[in-house]
Amino acid sequence: MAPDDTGTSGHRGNQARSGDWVRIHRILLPVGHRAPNVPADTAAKPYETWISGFALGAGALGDEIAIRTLAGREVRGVLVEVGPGHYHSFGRPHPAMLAAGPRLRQLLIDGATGGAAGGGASGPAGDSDGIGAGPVPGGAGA
Amino acid sequence: MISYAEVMARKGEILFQATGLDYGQFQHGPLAFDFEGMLAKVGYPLEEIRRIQNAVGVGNTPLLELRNLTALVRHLSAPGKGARIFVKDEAGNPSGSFKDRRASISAYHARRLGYPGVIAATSGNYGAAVASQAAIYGLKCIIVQEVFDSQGRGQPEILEKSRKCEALGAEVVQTTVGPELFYALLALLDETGFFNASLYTPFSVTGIETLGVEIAEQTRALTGRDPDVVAITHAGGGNVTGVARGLQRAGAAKAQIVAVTVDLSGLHMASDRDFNRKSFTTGHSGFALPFTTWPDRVDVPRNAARALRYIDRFVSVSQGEVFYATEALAQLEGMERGPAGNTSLAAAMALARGMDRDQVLVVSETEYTGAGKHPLAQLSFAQEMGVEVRGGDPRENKPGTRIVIPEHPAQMDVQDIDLDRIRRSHVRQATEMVGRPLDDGEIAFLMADCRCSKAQVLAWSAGGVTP
Repeated sequence: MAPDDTGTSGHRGNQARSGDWVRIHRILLPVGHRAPNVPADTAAKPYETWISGFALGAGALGDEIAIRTLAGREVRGVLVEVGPGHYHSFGRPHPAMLAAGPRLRQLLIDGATGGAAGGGASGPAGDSDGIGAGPVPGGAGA
Repeated sequence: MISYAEVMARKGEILFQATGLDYGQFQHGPLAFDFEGMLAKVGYPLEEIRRIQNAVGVGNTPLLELRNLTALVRHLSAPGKGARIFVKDEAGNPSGSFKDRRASISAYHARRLGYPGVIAATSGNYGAAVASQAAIYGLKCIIVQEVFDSQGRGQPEILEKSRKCEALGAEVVQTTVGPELFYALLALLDETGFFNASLYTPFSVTGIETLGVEIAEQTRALTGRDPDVVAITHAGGGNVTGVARGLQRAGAAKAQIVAVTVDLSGLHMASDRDFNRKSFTTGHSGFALPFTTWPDRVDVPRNAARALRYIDRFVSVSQGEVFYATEALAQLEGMERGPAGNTSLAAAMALARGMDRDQVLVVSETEYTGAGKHPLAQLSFAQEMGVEVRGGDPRENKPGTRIVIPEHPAQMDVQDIDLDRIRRSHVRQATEMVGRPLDDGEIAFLMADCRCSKAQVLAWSAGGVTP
């Protein structure tokens, strides 16, 4: 959810002034006017759209206003947000994922040392056969 | 906005204006068309594609050997088994995925033809790729994306793509769930006169051939041999088509093309309820099965991405296995990458076990990751949507219900998808569309489109079983 934003402009989030970055909503296809082949749960809802742009005039949430989009189009719609942002994020690691890394690393160690999990025989010299099996950094006699 | 029916009735005219392509010139009757001729005539020559891409920093990405994953797989394999696993780090492209190869040619073409802007309808990386190239070429850009369910919940991965397109200067039109995305695209093309930067034009698809060429060249340089298997994440078919063609051009036609898709069976792609109960928005069976069976369901009259011509083996992996592969890549190889490439990596971790040690398996792409795309975001969202997440046997994955993360890499496997079943379906659909017995040209076209014999086409067309 967007944080409460009075910002440096000093105005409340439910009023847009001309030039504010805002988000509008439109119904493109109402219920009953959708594509013929959509499943019932989708058909029971309208086909909606949201677009962000710069307000071309003042307005309050719920008013129809015009915006100028980043592609230069003038589009009309209902004002639904002043100062929209992006808040998608990461999240809490799941135990099954937390367990995976250490377990995989241990399998690699076990395999390299011929331990419990090792199954295949070692290959010819020069093959990838263990942890950090890339080029050896530095070298003897440095 | 004008009505759905009105816009769809004018779709041919709108698309002609928006692509500048007369598909009719390649068409022979209702079904057959000159696929190779179209790609040769309309697509850009390979050397020109390379020049265009080099000029904007697209392509020439590293091919990396995954030594720790290879070692891990070998320890699970029988003696003498466990192919070397390489990955083509397409995340190194300007907007973070191989889609830049497609977008670079679309944008170049639009600019050359004098269009003021470009539009793409996509919830995937292609939108950001088009926005990125539009910025480079000074084109206006609109990306139309299916983002929200009817409760206003956005799929986190798609929210990230909206953010990225906007950051690159594109107008983003976000919609709720529905196939009417095509209608929205057509209406916008009609209103603006912009170019339809479709995923499925010949220039878009042939733009990917350089990926196949690079894989061949780099594999030879690093290993002294051609790739034995190339694992390609498959949804709409462009990746498979482009990479396979590129490998052929580079003389690496013996590489087995394995198309990999995430299993989302049981979920309906146009369902409001199912939309946010999947953890993958691309590279999945919801696209791959219909698109492989019938490619001509797209936003151009004939699809240049025709995967059935190139796929040698078609497999699926579970959502849980892709998350596990993501973790393995991060913690064993030090690379955080997104779901699209890790889908093929998950398959590779199983496929490599059955291959010989001196063989080479290349995973054809990686993509960038971040907020919304990351497993942290996707698994949290899945749980919020009531999907169970736990560790265990990945065979217990159930799309929309349960995500099961493997507990041991030996549990990873691929499920084969029957290509003959898909070919049969393709031939049947073609026959129904034509509405009469197929003529010789149509039979030849289907033999090429399905890579099958005349006897198979005739048997499937008649509704019988292959003799």
